[in-house]
Amino acid sequence: MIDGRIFFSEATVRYEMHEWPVDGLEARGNGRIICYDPNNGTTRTVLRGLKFPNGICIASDGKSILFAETFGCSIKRYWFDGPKTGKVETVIDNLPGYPDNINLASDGNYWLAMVGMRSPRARSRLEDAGLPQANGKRVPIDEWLFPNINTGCVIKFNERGEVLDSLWDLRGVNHPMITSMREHRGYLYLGGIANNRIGRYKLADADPDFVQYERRWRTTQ
Amino acid sequence: MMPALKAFADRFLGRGDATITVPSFDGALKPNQILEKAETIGQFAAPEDLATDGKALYIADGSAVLRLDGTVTTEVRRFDRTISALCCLPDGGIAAALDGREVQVFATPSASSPRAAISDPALNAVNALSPGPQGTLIATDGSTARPYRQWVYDLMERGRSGKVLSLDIASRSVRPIASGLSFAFGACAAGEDVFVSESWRHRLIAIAADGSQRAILDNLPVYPSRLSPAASGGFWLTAFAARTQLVEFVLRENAYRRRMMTEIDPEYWIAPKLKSGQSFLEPMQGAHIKTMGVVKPWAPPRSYGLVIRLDANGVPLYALHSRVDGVNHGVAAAVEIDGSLFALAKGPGRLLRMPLGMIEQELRA
Repeated sequence: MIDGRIFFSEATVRYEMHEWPVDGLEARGNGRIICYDPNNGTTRTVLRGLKFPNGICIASDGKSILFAETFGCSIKRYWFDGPKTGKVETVIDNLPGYPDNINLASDGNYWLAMVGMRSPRARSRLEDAGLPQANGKRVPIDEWLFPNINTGCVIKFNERGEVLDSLWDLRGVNHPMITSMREHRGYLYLGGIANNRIGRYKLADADPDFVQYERRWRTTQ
Repeated sequence: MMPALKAFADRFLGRGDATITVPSFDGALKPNQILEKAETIGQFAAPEDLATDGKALYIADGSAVLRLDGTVTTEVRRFDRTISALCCLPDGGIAAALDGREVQVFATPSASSPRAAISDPALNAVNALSPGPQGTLIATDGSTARPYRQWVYDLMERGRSGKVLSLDIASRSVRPIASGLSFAFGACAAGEDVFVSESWRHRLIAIAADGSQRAILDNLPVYPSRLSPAASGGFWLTAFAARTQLVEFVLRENAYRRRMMTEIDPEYWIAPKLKSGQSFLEPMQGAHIKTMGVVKPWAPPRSYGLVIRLDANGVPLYALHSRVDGVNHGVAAAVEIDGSLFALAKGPGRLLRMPLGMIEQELRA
């Protein structure tokens, strides 16, 4: 933030980072958003009970952040300043995939990386009873059901929650599991935490001089 | 009573048939990429079965019978229904099962009208034909509950209504040799016995002339299917899919499975498939995550390609694989002609050819 505050997400307080599939299996809201304020040296939890919060990105008003709830399949907005301070609103709900990082696009909209897609799955008896799947107890992790992570997808959306565009690597040939993307000087750069490559996609109508940090500070000053 | 008590104890203790463990590809089943690297000599829309008279190769593709000469395929005949099994007879004739419910026998592959048409209430899902003793045909009938196309329903309903039938061509009569099998899929005469694949019980059984059964191969990590004789003795056994712990788990979770079957498109069930990776709606498992640009070939197989070479006693000698990272999956038929093995990969709809010399060379390497 312009005043030096840093908002960051802790995806899960219950599991280690590499144990994210276990957290996903539970999807019960083990994550939180934390604010570090260098002005008074405090670190405080501002939101808790989130389903794998991810992708914090400052919104256009400079008073709120957008964030993804990966296992909640939603994008939300949290106000840390102004009349709506403390409020959370849903921007997009019931996404067909699992959202990861969010970043500003040169046209003022936002890019969103989908880490994987949702697939139809019957609910188990144990889920009905509010318990974790028996799946998790009797089947080794390599055999667990996962979101379809071998699909690459990036969408563009705006603050009204409208999806404006989508880019795909449907079979995940080069870019399965895209977890992060960033627009820079007319290209969209793509990365995945389990991949061995970084992709670059030429954007037809993008501002060729767009550099995210310059824009961000210009709009918030 | 004792089997019921044992089954109960096994469920309670999580052992025996109640476990979800799957044997690994080991020993003679050690993986390789021979099937994946095989030469593709034809692509077909709906290939189902292969047959040979020792010289020509016949392919059942949808409702047509095609003959392969070199690399050229010629349509030999066309039916009004889909062919579910095809075999050549020692007297030069050819037999085809239509929609699993009728078997027609022709004096020659191109004969204009059938020599015999056998339709009997006992025929429901005939999925393989093989010449039997004294002018008979051996047929495997996968299920009396489901038509032959709906094999995945039969698996998920834990079907046990498969049969082996002896069809007498002259009298058009049908005589059961075995019944109550967990999906009979493929048979081949082996001396006095008949070897039969029992897919859902992952085994190959021998049925003696007196009807007694014994297991030849048990606890296979795959679902065995059609088998054919090898020229130098023994057999080629295909497996149209491989087992996974997740499918075994779902097969033991009755309420979950019933719900999956009512709520979800069968295309996306947790069940073995002839091909996979077609849509992101398919269930994906942890080990399938493409890491560093690579899918692990030893990940749990939603689909798989396998042909096993058996000796005359049914002992596996070696196997030809197309692994999880490959595409030549769903192999349901394999026949040997003139020093080459032809295999039908139903997943990609490919007819594959592997010279036996090349196979032996690869296996020695």
